[in-house]
Amino acid sequence: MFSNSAAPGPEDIRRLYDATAPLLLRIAARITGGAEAAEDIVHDSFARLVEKSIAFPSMDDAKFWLIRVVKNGALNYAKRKGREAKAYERWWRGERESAVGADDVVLKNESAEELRAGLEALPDSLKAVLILKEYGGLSYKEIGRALGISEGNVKVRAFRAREALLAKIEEGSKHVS
Amino acid sequence: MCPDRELVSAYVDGEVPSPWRERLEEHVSSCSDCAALAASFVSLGARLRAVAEPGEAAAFARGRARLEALLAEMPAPSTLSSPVLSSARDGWRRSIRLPLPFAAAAALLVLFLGGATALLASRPASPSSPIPAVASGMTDPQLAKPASMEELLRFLGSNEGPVQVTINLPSGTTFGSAGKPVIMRSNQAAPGAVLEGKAP
Repeated sequence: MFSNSAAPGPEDIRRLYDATAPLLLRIAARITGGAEAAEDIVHDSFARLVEKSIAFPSMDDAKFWLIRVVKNGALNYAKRKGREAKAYERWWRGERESAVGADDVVLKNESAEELRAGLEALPDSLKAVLILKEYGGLSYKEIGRALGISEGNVKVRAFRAREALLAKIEEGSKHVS
Repeated sequence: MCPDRELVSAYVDGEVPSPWRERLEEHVSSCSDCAALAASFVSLGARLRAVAEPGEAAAFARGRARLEALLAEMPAPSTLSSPVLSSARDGWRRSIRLPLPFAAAAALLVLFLGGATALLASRPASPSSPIPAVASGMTDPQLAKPASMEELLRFLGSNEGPVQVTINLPSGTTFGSAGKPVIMRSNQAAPGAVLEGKAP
């Protein structure tokens, strides 16, 4: 796709954006929990690609480079904003509960909230694999390529992430009942 | 006996290769424990995806517009796609790659020459010229210009005594890869085992 490993030209970059941005935005939004942050992170990754005019052997290599950069950027962002976001979430939940009351809606949101909190609490190495799998729809091979780990390692991490998250949810529901 | 739980997780992802996939499918359909485990993994994925996505469709278009602004500041495409310029820019990232057989042969050559030089030094004063192009037998220097590595090795194999070899690398800076690198034993490097028994 990129001829003889030269840095990609504007046309290449446009094509790359069209092909990868939906996936990158989804991954970043799922990791950060914010659409705006996701947009910035994806934009920054493309800005880095353009500024450094990095030469990629193929479109695929560029795609996996972008996934890795976006994943790292989103995880860093989430860490930085973690405290802030938690305070915001607490306020938001309180606001909603007082507005709607003890409804099914609230119960559903509670479990969704629990799930999101559980996912957030996972170690980065597990979280990244589960998000790329469940939200990115990538294969083990693709995830391995994006994260620079073996397919076998992806398999192990996907399993551990699920076990950890399921255990967390179960623990949470026991607390409630 | 039930399969490893990790295997069930991979099975749910469709990442188990064919002979085992069918066996797992058969087992999961008949084992309630494994069926429940597989179902819990599947439903976890479904529940994760059911959490409202914070993204929105407009983000894609907005990002595209921002990208256009970025591209407008980019230098002209002709200079960017020039391989010379981009290679100069990424000069620090470049590595020179020699095909492994070539590199191995070169290394062997250096070893051999080192031995030959040692041999020369241990002999009584030699009358040969200070820089013989390719000297053989100390008395009658000959000049050979082998065209290939194999030819050179054959030449070295047929000559005793000190030999000076000059290898001219291509004058350009662009190296391409030539074939798949393979590791081979020295006696396989050139047919006829020309290198054997030459080291003093």
